[in-house]
Amino acid sequence: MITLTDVRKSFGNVPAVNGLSLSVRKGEVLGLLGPNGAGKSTTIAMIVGVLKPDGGRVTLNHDGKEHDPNDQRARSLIGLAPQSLALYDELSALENLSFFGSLYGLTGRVLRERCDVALERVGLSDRRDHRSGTFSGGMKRRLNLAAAILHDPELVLMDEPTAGVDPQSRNAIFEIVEGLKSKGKTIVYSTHYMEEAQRLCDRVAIIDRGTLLALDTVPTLVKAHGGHSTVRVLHAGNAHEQITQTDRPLEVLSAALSTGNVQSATIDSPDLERVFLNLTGRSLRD
Amino acid sequence: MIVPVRTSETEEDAMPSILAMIRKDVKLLLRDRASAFFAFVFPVLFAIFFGYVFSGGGGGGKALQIACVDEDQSEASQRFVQALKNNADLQVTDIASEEQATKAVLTRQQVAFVHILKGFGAAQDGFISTGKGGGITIGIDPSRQAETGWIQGLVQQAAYTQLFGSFSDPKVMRRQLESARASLNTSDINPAQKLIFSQLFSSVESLSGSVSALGTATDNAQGGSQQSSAGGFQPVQVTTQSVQAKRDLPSDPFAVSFPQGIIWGIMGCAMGFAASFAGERTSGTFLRLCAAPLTPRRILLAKGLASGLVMLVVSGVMLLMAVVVFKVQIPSYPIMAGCLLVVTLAFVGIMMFAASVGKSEAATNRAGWAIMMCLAMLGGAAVPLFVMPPLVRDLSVISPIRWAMLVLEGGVWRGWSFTDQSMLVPMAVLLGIAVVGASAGMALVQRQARA
Repeated sequence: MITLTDVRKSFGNVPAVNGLSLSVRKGEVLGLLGPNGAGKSTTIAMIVGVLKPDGGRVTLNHDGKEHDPNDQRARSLIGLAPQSLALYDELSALENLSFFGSLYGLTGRVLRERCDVALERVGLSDRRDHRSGTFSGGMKRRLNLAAAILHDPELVLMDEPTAGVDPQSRNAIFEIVEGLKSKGKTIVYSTHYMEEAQRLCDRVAIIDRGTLLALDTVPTLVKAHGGHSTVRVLHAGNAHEQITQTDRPLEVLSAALSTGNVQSATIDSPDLERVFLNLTGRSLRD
Repeated sequence: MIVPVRTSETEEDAMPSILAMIRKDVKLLLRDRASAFFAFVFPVLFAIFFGYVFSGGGGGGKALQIACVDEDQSEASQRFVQALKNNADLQVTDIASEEQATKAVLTRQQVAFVHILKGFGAAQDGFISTGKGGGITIGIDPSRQAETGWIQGLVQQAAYTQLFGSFSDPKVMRRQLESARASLNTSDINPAQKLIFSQLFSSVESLSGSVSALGTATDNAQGGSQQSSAGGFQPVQVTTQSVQAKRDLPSDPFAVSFPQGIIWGIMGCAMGFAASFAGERTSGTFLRLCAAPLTPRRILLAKGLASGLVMLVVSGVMLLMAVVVFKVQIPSYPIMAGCLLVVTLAFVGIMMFAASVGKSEAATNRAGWAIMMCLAMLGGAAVPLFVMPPLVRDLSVISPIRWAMLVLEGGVWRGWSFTDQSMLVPMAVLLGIAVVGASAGMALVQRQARA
């Protein structure tokens, strides 16, 4: 669906994206995982064509053709939910959606129906006539997402869609992403929450300082870069803690339990956080 | 194969999205109280307040300011002047000579002058205007057709008041009747009319005696109906003299303050839209709009069209208010419409440029208003151009608002047409500002958006 080839972008002397190459397959959810400032938003802006790469190429593949993202027609294939909320506080939820829908040529009954469906999907039907400026952060995020998918795009770009939202809204957003995925939509999901990437993404691109560090499915990334599981067993009586690095944590735990002298035991399985730590030497939240 | 980039601004599906953005921007302006205040309320308050200030403090209503030259200096002429002064529709200033009175009208200090010619008193005593001197001359600008008719009516009303007022004074009446009979004998009117007037004078003498006997005042005997009952008879001969007033001075204080108010309203719109565009660029909405099938240029163009639409509505409503409520006379509505359109285009260009360079909504608002205020002061939107010292007036050429004020004044009270050099120059300047501002704005925003 999208191919980035050696894409570079700098702001002044500061490189934001440095030779990024990746492909997004049709119908998959690709996660862009990285800390703040990793270059995720810049990458998304170049995919959607609002930023021009200093070097490299971004192409959008649809119907057997390659499109430049600046192609006005190709942009109708893309829905963008930017990190900065793209809403007009003085307009109601319905007015916001109607406006964005009309930019994509939706009019009349079709536009009204699409707005109704989108509001229903993000759980804002009962607030349709309320000004978005009165909404909570989570409600705004949901409305922001609704505006991105109103025109039924093939590709949805979500830039930190759960930033600053409450658990209820986060779950609603997860359900929307899963619903889009089930309909075969292609999604690029940028986040710095590894739990979200693990739950939602078919593949994850780990990005740091504008560079792609790894790209694969979560299990493969974990297996390749996560290291061993850590089994911690606290033995009764002498308060001795046994720490074991292993690829077979259950076997180690089972063996420990068989001694009958175990006060407590934990298994730390490798995850994307560990992958990032191993790849960069830093935590995702640094 | 890479499909070629389409950046055309004229594709067939552009208009619906541009219209959607215009609707959105108008809604946003109307719902933003501060912007709506500066676009709609402040200009009206400004125009009304300064209109009253320019008119000399208000409270005086819309009495016509006229100069009165009493060349006759007779008892009758003085009573006539007093009758004029007693009329609430007139504000009468005594002036010694016709020359001075003419100057006052030329410089628009007075709407008109009323010159009571020598022999007025004698003619009044004779009741009948014989056309042999003693009449009244009204000097007024020929463009003031409505005021001319009004003043003529008020002058005749005062003459009637004087004529019928004399019924209450038998001595005056008797003297006037004697004089009238004498002038009737020497007048060249036909015998039938002579007979009618002779009978009339006898009846009047009889009536005057009755009124006197009753001790009844006859000051309620004024009114215009007598004229028709007298079959065209007029107690005084009135002629009108054309005095072409200077076109570089306004005839009405509201003709000055409303163009200024329109400029403030248009500036409010321009600043409101420029700030909102800058706000969109710093929030996520501009990015979101750019991600839609729109170019940054088209987004700015839509903002420009929306602002232009609101500017035309604001200026149109203000103009309507000036005409309907404050009786400002517009020499030509088509020319006025052209003036408003050109001024609007210039400010759309200014708005588009300001929108493209503004760093944020707050910064654009602050810097924009600071610059606009200076340009407005210099350009005549606060102190009218025609009262500025020559040096300041010369300096004001750097302010776009000066040219806008000139064009609006040209349409409202200067009486310029599109063929006048005085109108063509400011219009050309404003159209230049429109083209340069819009082009620079669109180029900048396109470059910034993809930088």
